[in-house]
Amino acid sequence: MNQIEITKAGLMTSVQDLGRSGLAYYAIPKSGVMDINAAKIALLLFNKNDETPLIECTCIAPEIKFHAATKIALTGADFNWKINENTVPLNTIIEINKGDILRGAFAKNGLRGYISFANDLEIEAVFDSFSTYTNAKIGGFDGRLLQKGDVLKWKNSIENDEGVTTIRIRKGPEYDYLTEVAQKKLVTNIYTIKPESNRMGARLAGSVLESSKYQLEYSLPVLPGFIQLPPNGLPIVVLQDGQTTGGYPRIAYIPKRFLSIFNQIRLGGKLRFSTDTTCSYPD
Amino acid sequence: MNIKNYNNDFLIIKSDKELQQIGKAIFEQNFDFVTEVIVTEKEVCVQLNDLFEVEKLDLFHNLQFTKKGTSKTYELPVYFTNHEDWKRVEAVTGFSKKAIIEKLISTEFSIAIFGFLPGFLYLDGLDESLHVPRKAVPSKYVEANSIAIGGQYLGLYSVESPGGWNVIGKVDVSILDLSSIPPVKMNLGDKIKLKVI
Repeated sequence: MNQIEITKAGLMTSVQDLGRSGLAYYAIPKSGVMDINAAKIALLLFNKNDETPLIECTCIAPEIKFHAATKIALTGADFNWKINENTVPLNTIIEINKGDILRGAFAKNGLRGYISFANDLEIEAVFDSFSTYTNAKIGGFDGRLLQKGDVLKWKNSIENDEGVTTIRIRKGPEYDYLTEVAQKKLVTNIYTIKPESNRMGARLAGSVLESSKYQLEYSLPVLPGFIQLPPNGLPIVVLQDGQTTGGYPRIAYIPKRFLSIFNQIRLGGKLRFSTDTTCSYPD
Repeated sequence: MNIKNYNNDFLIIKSDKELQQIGKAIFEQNFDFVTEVIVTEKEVCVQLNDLFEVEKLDLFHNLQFTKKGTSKTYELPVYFTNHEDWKRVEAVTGFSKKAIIEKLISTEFSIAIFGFLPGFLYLDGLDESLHVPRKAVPSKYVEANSIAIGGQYLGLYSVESPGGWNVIGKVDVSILDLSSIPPVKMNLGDKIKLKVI
């Protein structure tokens, strides 16, 4: 089962995110993490943005049992965290095996620490936020601090089998040039990053995409993340040093957040594109 | 003005007239919700950031922009080389290199787009008989200051780069000066004549 179980509550442990903004007009406070920078580090380590829940620990660490493998990051104050009997460092990604127990002690060098997860915890959002506000009993885990026995589930990872990374894409201005068959291929093909890829662009190897046109009549703007289809039918992804205009159809684009993930795929690495908006990462 | 919003990631703006003036005006406004503005002949692309909201599109519709000024004419000192791309250019156009050169030096080009790379010019005005499509697989390396034919445009590569255009020669002097902004002193719409040296 993809879940964590709170086996010791700690002092004041709660689910938070970067806050429930904009409702102070109705006397609803922002809530959210107390140390936004430590929380952001915890999220950034997994390439995540604002809309992701994490666990805030205060003064005395909780103890958490993992019922399935995953990855976590620990930031903020130093709780002398251990996985089973082994000390683990702050501010880095830690592999967790099924059955592992995370435990810690009193906070040093600060009061509060954060636990972020590779797989998003399934928490119901209240007014667009996962933050807990105990006074009104809203948000987070049932509107209260975490207690012994609480179980929090997570969704399945989108980074899946056989080392194939899933990259979310959106339709580009010339998406309709692709034949129906090609539109399906675009999201089912497994592509490989060719070795001649560099900071200007990534060239992909894989099954060719059929299109009504492989050249634009005019040169049109391109931004990093745009996916072009040249006459050989194999996509090119424009990257940071890439040209600002181009004559190939812009069939799709990779949103900024997924571009970070894409740019970490090694040369020769495999990927698959997805237009599925139920992907685990919120946008 | 026709504006299409791609998921609040970027806008593509088209207009039958004065598109370049619109692009310039958007760029000069320096909106805080805009990170990049790219202007081409047929589209302006505006990259947006987290500060953008759909209501702000009104700001574009109400934009004031100045009319086009008068254009200047420049002479570009060029020499035509023996680059291997000439084979394809001759084959596709059906003309000899000599005939092609004669046509080129009698053409008045105008600067249609700044794009692709710093100092890259897309020049309009190439006779239809001299249009040569871009290569199916771009060359990994085009020398700096090369001139090349790409579809309906004559292009100038001020910096070396990979490129799919058909190289026919070089300019004798670089038009790119990266010690200041703008890095190219010419304007869109300015005229260019090739002068063989």
